[in-house]
Amino acid sequence: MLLQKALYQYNSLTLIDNRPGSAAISSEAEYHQNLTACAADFDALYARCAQAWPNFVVPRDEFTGAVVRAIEKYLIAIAKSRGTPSISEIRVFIGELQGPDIYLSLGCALGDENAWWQFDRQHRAFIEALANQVVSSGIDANQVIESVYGDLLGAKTESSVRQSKFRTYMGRGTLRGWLRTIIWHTSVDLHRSRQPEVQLEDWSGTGDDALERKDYAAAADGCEDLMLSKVMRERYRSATVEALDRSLAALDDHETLLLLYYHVEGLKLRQIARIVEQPRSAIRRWFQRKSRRQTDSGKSRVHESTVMRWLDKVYRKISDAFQSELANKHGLSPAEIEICLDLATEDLAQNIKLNRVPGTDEIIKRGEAG
Amino acid sequence: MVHERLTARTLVPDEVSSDTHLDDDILSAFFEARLGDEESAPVIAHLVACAVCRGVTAQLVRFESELSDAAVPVTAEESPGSLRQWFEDFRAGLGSSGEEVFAYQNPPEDSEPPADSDEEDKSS
Repeated sequence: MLLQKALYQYNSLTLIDNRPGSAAISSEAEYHQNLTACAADFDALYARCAQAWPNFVVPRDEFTGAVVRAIEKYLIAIAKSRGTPSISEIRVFIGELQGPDIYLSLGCALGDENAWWQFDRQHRAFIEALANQVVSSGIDANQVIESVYGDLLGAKTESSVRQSKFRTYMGRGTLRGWLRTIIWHTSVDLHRSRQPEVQLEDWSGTGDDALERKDYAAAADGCEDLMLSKVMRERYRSATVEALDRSLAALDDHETLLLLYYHVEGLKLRQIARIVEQPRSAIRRWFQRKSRRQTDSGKSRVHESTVMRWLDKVYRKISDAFQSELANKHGLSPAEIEICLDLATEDLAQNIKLNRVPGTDEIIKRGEAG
Repeated sequence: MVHERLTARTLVPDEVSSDTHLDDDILSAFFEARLGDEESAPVIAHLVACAVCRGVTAQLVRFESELSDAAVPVTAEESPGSLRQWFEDFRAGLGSSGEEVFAYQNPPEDSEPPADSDEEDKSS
């Protein structure tokens, strides 16, 4: 029952397919058995946390319940492809949890004054620094801080019980990382409440490079029109769109996300490197597996050039598929493929003189005549 | 068109209801690279499909990097024309064999086992 409840609760949160998982439900007994087998791990984690925070007490069942909820959210609801988590998987997961952070957040959610004192002492300066960093025009950092603290305290009540946001912290990541996300969201919400029409990109002022990139399309249009007639553009456009869509659809999600971060979100290489610099980064691990460059990468940093190499590989994959699609399915010649390449990359052009292959002009003339 | 088709692959924000977005706990765990492969796969699939959540992670990266990036110079390779340049390289070899085209690319990771993966970057 607990498992079913957890699945229902978290599937709605995580966009995971929330159709009744008969396999998961049927393995509920096995799951509970595995969970029970990890009782010593629960006890050890609880003891460690109680030792870390000797000034206040979180009841054992509260703490155990929070850990179970984290297991059910991450190991069952999100990683549902894994099936019923084994004893060893549960143990590893418990070992990776930020136990002391969970304990502290639970103490605060329960309204323990000592817990709040510890939280304030450990994280107040961090919250203030981030709030000052993230504020934009029209918003005072103090408003952000007040709003964050209000949510953490539980400004909303349900059945006369304060609904502290701390209850949503599961301990998979650090409490500080979670706070950073909360502060960012709070700032956006406050900003939107004043200027609801403003887009996210416009708010922080940090999306300038992304906006600049989008300007390339407009800059490219002028010279592009000189080279290709409207008639020819339309002729090859449908083939280009179809081939490009198929090429992009053939990419793995990790590759697509990398492209989206760079080309759509406008992140710089070093910012992407920051996302993947952790050895456990899913994107980093995926590309390292694919590149067969298996090394002990735990200590090596990911630099911009590494990200560029990954992008190069994705471009190569797109280009191979694109060329193959146009040649084999649409029967286009190399010169015609070049025209399609022009169309495909026109939004990326930036005053680069195009090297046309011989015969392109002839094709255009023939097309126009036809 | 690459930008356009990439964008078209993702959902329009309005089509995704707010209660189906990734929550703060998942976003921060992903951002800190705390998720295992089975956990991160559906999260990455969601980030590909959902422009809102992807935008949040992108903003978090900017937010985080603002604290320490002030003194970091922008390198030449930050030029957003990289993909265009790559296609230019590709075009230069169009009609010849793929090996000749891509020999221009570097580094040839799959065929050249280096001493280490990222150490070479540190010299740059």
